[in-house]
Amino acid sequence: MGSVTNTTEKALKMLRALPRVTIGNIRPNPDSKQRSKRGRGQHGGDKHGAGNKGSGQRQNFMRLGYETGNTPFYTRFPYEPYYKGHHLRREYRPISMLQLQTLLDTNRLDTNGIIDLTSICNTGLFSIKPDERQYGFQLTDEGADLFRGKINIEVQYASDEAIAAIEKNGGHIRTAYYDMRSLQAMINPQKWFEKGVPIPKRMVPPLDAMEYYSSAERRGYLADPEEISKERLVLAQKFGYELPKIEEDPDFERLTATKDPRQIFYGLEPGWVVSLKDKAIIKPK
Amino acid sequence: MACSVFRGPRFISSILRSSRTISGAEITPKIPAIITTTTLQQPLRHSSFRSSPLVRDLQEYPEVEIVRNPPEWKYVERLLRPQTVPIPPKKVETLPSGWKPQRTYDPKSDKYFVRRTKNHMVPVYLMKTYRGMRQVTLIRYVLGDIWALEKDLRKVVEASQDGKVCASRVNEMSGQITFHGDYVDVVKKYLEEQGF
Amino acid sequence: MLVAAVRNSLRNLRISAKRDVHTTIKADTAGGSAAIISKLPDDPNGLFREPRQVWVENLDTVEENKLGIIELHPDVFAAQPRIDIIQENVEWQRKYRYVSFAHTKTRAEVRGGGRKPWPQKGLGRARHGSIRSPLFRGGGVAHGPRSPTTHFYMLPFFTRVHGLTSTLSVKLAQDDLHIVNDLAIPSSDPKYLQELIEKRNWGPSVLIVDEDDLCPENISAASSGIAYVNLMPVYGLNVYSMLKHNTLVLTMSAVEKITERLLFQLRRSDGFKKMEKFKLDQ
Repeated sequence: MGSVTNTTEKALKMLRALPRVTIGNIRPNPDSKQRSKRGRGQHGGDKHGAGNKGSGQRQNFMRLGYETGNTPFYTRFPYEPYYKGHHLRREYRPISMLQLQTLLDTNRLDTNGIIDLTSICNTGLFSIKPDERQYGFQLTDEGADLFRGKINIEVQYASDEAIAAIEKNGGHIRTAYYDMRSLQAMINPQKWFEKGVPIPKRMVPPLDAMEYYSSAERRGYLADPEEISKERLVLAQKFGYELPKIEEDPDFERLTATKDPRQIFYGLEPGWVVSLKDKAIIKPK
Repeated sequence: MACSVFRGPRFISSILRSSRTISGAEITPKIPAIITTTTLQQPLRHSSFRSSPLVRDLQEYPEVEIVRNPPEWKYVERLLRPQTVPIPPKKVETLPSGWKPQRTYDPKSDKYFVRRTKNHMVPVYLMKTYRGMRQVTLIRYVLGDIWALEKDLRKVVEASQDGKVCASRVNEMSGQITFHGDYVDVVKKYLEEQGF
Repeated sequence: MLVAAVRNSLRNLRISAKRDVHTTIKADTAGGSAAIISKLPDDPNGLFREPRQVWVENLDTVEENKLGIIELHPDVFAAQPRIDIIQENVEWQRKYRYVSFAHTKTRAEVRGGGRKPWPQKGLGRARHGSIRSPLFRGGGVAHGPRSPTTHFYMLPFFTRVHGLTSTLSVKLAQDDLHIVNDLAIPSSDPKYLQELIEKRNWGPSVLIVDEDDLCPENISAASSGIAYVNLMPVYGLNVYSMLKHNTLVLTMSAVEKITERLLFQLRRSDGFKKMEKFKLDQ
């Protein structure tokens, strides 16, 4: 067949023969403008959809939930235990191993450093809303079998299969907690630096999360590193793979780099003020 | 790593009063990250008068040192997001995720072509409306003979459900095809096989 | 090349003589093929369609001298000419700044009408509470205009981006786009520009776009003498002005900047943030 008759090319070709496009000869798409008009005549007119008498026709509506006098539903019950503590529950935005692998394959993530919340948010494909009690990312195990990346990753929750997938390929995973204020700095570091506010100090996890982030089994950032090495072996045996020797890896330094528990950004200390415009860091003495 | 709570650099008020040397270095008003009025033509966006705290007694602020071109700058650069979408690999055998780069466009021999999105992904989407009751598969960025692509896709879609017919719509102007139903996987597989 | 091929095929459809501004590139011209001044830099994303080749002219002389060819990026200068998007942009530009000062008084504001005009019952007349109710002649207006009423709204970000690419593409397709090497003209007399425009068959109104807002003295003086010849920096480029002026003249540096900026907007990684609802001070 001949060349592709691209719609754009067709349109541009047509324009060469048409009068000059000016402000006076353009129009909106047909039916895109809807003029709200008051109905007239038998069907649109008369009471105009407001019914007869009452608060409806008089445009003085009853408040939402009002049941014309009897105790309304929303005041009948003094409490609803289903939602108790709802406002305290933490949410973690899921990322599957398949999505992570796709990010690595399409050069979206920089594997030179730690892949943390900031680098995932910086791809522009995932976002965290701390206002909605989202405290970070969790790794789900969809695509764990396909995963082949050797990375140093830090998330807020990871299932066993996800941890196994990463460690099987010679990578390194930790689960870490970031409090609300640190999250604000993490999700958009550029905005934080532009504020001129010093880098905050990361707070310790709340009591109900302390156990999780101190457990070696969950690769918590507060756990004992020796315990974690033991757990790596345990997991290798559980899933039946040979645990690669990360110490003999030439990339050992890059793979095992971890942040201090009080540090938000790797390499930058809390209390520092970063000036992007001047390429300077203001450090307290 | 323990450091005292950092309130703010000491020299803010020094600028507000008059120039004064701190730690031997003359502070010039060329450090706009702290001060809201800057040497830029436009004001800084993220720091504002209302959000910045009032200057307190100078004794409360710790001593600071300003390090220009610090060795830790590479860590700062790592935190800044890439402005445009990174370029994916061009020629690659197979990738673990199954992602493949697009083949080159040959206007002379291709009847139609499905362009990739800005994020280099195949532009097939599932649109759900009416509280999930209606599912529609949408294919965007179609160049060329869109009717021929619709015919080919229809064959694939109907084959996936044993020849049962499904509704479709073609919009030549915007280069979109929609199929009534969830055929995202089927369509994506077909398009990837064709190299799009 | 595309320009030549299209021109040859539409020979019968030519409507006005002004379409003859660009001469067909013939292989047998004296001196061989024209020198390409500026080739498109290698786009790592890959080009989907051929770049558009446009003559680079000069402003030094009244007669047109073709200095070479510049290649224009197809995603910016040969984008789909969406007339509906262009119309939305024009409408937005007109309306977002508009403040309506029309004002009517309500029944409370009209002078008088505090007293009940006649008793409720007994007179056989209709019941009324005030002589300034909307029912009355001379009464207040019920849902009339209230000054000042703003009509501010923000068109979605990418609609505005595509408005620019569509308009540039339309201008190029209709031969209303000219590329010029720089804005140096020999005299500051407005007549020089008028002669030039007349000679080259450019539309009476010309919009000259340069990269920055500081332009050479001569052209600034000359264009300030003519109401319909306007200079504009790249940051002021907008759909309304491009359509209002018949001809669009871009300098080579302006072309580079426009291409770089528009391609960046089309490929930015935080596009979803731009698609959120527009909020001031954010």
